[in-house]
Amino acid sequence: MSGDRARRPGELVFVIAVVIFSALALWQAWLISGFSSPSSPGVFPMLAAGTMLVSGLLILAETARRDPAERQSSAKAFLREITPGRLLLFASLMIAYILALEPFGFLPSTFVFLLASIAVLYRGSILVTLAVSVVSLAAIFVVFRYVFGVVLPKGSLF
Amino acid sequence: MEAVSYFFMAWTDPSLLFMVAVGTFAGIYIGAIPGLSVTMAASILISFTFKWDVNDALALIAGVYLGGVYGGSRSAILLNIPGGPSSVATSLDGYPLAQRGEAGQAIGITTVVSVIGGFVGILALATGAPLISSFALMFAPRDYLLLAILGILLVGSLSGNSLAKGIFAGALGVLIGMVGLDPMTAEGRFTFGTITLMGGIPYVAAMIGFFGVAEVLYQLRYLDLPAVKQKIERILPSWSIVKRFMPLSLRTSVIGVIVGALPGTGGDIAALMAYDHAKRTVRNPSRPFGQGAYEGLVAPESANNAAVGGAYIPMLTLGIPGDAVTAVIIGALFIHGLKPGPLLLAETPHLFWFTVGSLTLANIFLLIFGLTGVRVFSKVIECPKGILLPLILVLSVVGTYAIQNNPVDIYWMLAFGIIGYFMKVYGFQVAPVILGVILGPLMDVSYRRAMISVRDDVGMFFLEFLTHPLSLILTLSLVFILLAQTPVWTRIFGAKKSGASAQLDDKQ
Repeated sequence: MSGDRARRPGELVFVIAVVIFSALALWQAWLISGFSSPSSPGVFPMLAAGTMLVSGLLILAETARRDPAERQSSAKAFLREITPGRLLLFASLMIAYILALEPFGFLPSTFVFLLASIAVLYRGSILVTLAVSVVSLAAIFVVFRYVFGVVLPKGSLF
Repeated sequence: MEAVSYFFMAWTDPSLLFMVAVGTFAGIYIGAIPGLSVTMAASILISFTFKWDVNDALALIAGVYLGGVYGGSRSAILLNIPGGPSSVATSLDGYPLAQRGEAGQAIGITTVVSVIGGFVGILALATGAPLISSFALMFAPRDYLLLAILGILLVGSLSGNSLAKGIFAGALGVLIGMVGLDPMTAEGRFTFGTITLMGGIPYVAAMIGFFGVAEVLYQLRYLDLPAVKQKIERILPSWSIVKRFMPLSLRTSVIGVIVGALPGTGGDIAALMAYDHAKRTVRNPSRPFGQGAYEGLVAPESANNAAVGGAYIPMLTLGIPGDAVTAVIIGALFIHGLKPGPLLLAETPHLFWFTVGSLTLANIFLLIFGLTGVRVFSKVIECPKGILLPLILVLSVVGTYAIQNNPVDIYWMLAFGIIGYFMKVYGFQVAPVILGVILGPLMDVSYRRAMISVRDDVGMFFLEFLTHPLSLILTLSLVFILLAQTPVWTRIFGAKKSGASAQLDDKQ
């Protein structure tokens, strides 16, 4: 199976987090109704969380057995392989965009997001970036607002 | 007689006809662009169409589904990049054909056999579903529980390379589906006393997060793949070629239907199994497999489109999705207040025959769109990802917000997207999560009904798994799937499977 694949940077940490999350979920599931009866509301969540914990531990054992991909600093490798600069930049833009929706509303925040992320990813000329952003935003707005009749996120300012 | 009129509803109503056409057309292109999956398109579309009449929404989705599964073959042939998981096998012989300058011929044959496969699948749906549906009324709650576990297990074990990771992903989905008020006692579960969590985690946000946002982030890693240009001449395949491959196409379509109808397995598995079947049974292929054999194109492409009709069967009759796309479609039916299951055919037969009719229509459109407009197509496929990916994110936001107009849903989508990215990077499949989210509540209720029916007697509960014939069959299949993944089994039958999954790993 995947036994011969080298461990990716950060994989062990992720799997440990998975196991901890599963254990917490099992504890929370137990708090719902304990073992009061085999058909109580908490039993199935406990089964699900228990399955997560057991499979998580198996994954952990398997992950720990594999050799890491390389011996150099794992933080550096993590940055290069798992969260390269462009991805980090886009993810930050994405988070900022979503947080900006509530105060600023759909149109201004989407425009800025499209402009910035296309500039970063496509690296075309400013004019092309601007044109693409404006046209696609207008298309999205018209199609979804008027054709699909969808409510677009509304901000407190706009 | 009524069935016939419902069947032709989408054919005679211009607006429904238009929906199917647009859906199929869009599906072909969405499916063809690597990184845009049918599942992603379906999850985003569902949120936009939830205010529509249910027929419009179903017609559109039927088109997108059928078109999308086919569309993946285009980029597999032209670029050697499968547009989606169900066209991985197609690229094995499709790209070598393109390299020989036979891209047009390859696309033509693919289109024809996809349509043949599609019709076989639809025929199976039209005849098989009513049969299974009458039979399904005899299913006990524990059988539903077993079927649901089977579905999640099949997705988890066949689509990824680690069974443990597949099981984890499925269980995580079930857990997400449990959050909120318990449907039987209205007790809060995992709500931490907050009102926000009492309504549960919106599953559309989970779908768009895992299939939309996570995929966008994942695709950013492959931003700089160069586009390959191909010259395309003759597309329409000659009648003699079609006649020559008809038997193989029909055989592999049957494989596709069966694999598609199994809960949890869809076009991707069907295509790989069909390719394997062709490799084993075709004595004198037009060329050696892997070097541009037409047979290697016919088999997976017939099977993956046949699997579409097959996947609708368990969804409409049992409420158990045949693959990730049908899991999303079940979500759409829920939103429209419909309950897929054994009563769906009895209570809303028009819905069933309408679906069959729209799929048939979509298949006809597939033939038309598939054989025309290829030249325009190769332009569209070059749409740069640097523009495409930000737009998908905006659509994901709009789609998630559209369902409940609640900004919290967008935050859920963001969180699931980021978690989904790390899961994908570290080899966890996200499809089992969605199956778990959709099936979790059904499993919970089935489990408790089964337990209550034996008056909380745990021994009796397990005994019933063995004493009822249907439950016994399902239990044995479960045990078989689990055993098939253990080291002993792999050592005996391992050679072949590792070959197929190695090819899969190469392509992904």
